[in-house]
Amino acid sequence: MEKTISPVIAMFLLFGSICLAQPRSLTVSPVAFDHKLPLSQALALLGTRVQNGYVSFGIDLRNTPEPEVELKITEPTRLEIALAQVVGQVRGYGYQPISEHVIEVYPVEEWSDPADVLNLRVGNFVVKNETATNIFSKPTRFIPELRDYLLKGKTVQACGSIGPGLSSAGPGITLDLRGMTVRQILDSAAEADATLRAHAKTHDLPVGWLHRVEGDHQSELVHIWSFLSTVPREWEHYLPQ
Amino acid sequence: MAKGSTNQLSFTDKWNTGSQFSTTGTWTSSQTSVATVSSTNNGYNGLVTGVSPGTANFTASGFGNVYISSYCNYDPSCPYNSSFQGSGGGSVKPTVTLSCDTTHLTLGTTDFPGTKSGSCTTTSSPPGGTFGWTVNTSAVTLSANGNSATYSSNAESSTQGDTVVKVTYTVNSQSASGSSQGITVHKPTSLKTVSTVPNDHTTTCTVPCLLNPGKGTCTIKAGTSCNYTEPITRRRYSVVDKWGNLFQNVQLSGVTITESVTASQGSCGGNKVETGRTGGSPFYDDFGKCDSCCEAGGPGCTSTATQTLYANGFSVRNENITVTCTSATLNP
Repeated sequence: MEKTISPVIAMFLLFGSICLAQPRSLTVSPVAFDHKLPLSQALALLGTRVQNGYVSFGIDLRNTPEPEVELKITEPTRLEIALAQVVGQVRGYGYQPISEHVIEVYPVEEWSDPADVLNLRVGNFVVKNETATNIFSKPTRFIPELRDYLLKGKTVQACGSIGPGLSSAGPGITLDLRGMTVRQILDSAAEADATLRAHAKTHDLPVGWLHRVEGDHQSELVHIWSFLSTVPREWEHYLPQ
Repeated sequence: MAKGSTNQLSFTDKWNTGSQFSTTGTWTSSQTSVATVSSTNNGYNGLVTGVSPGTANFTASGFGNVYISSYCNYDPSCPYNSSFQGSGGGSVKPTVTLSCDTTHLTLGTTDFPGTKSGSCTTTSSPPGGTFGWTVNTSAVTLSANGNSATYSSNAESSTQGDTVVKVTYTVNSQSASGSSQGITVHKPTSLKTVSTVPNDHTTTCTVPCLLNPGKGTCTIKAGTSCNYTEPITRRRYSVVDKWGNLFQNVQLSGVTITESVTASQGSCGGNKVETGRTGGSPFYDDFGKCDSCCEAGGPGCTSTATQTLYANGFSVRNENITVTCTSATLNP
């Protein structure tokens, strides 16, 4: 039987995440590689080495190919210091704790651009018992404004589709958000998914969001939406009892 | 013997006739930095306590002649001719315990990297030694960093629990070792069909023509995309390994599922093909159709396609799909 977070809880989580909560001080255990790694992979490895908690990432990548970084954490290190070491290697990128369990990694220029796709403001975002993996891999299905934004200027074939696809069978989140940006919606969904596990005992792992843009302005930009789990194996130890 | 543990040595003194006599004495250690010894039971026993790695000899001595004279009177075979010294040897060995955080790893390309690796930590004594790490199969790759190590899935296990990580701790040429529990690397092999459920339309469908073929108002027009939220048929699958383990049951729910679907054929061929991506097991696979053909008068419009499902990049299922405006047939 699927479980949901009630709208009341969801709104509490939302306001709690955005207005009140700050990430706790977390520590990363040593993890070192002798070769460079794609940024998202390095972040995932950092996340899985968090010792006294867990985080999900919201990762926005605009470079093709994906920037690569060195990962050399040789002794237990505060997460924010490890993040500074990793993200600081990519010119123009920054990171910011958003809520108790969500940290965003983004290109600074696009992050502050009001016209950027992730800063598109959405009137209403309503999902009921929907999994975060579905939201993060098919956001246009849940955010019509985003779908219209991405289709703007493109020729749409007047025919339908076959094979509507895959979805998670895990418990879902319920959110009712007004007037938020796409970025804030994705962050809120990630926080709600991370916190959902405290209410619905499940082996499913919390996920964060991943947005890539491939191509350039001369050719057609392709937006790829996905998800990424970055919680350590023992993350359930840190759930509220 | 281990540091801090004790061992009882004993000394028996006898007359040259073979009869035992009672006496008192003291015990000494040749290397008190290695082990100490104390007299117990009036000196008949020496209690040895390990301190640090090494070897020490223990000597019992100082047995008083006062007893000799008295016993000489008793035994006519005097003079007394007994060895007054006894000795024993021992060494302190290092100890090490190994703790690894998982015995189940998943194989392949996944959005859940935490399910692909585990880590081991050690507790050892005394300090100052060196660690050597080994693993007995190629199912995992080991990356050691002093007293800890990480292991990542590399190949499917031959048998369940076939892989063991071992650490050897060495101090002053003395060694101790510890082993992990058996580790299994699980490869997604196939899908188990849990259920196939026709859409019951208990929630509002955003494409009315699917509910009433030819009579609805399918929202297909320039500037928008055809979309619907309710499938005609929904299947629920679980990912299993070659032993039939459900990935969720072995706490490996973090598998990534992707699909590839061939271009649709049939009377409504040319329909756009949607492919999907999700994570976790079990998962849903939805089948349905929304197109101008259905809007114009279905339900005779038919499309066929072949779908391949992948778990962590491994092909786990092939389906032949036939979809009309009102039904979906799957084989197998």
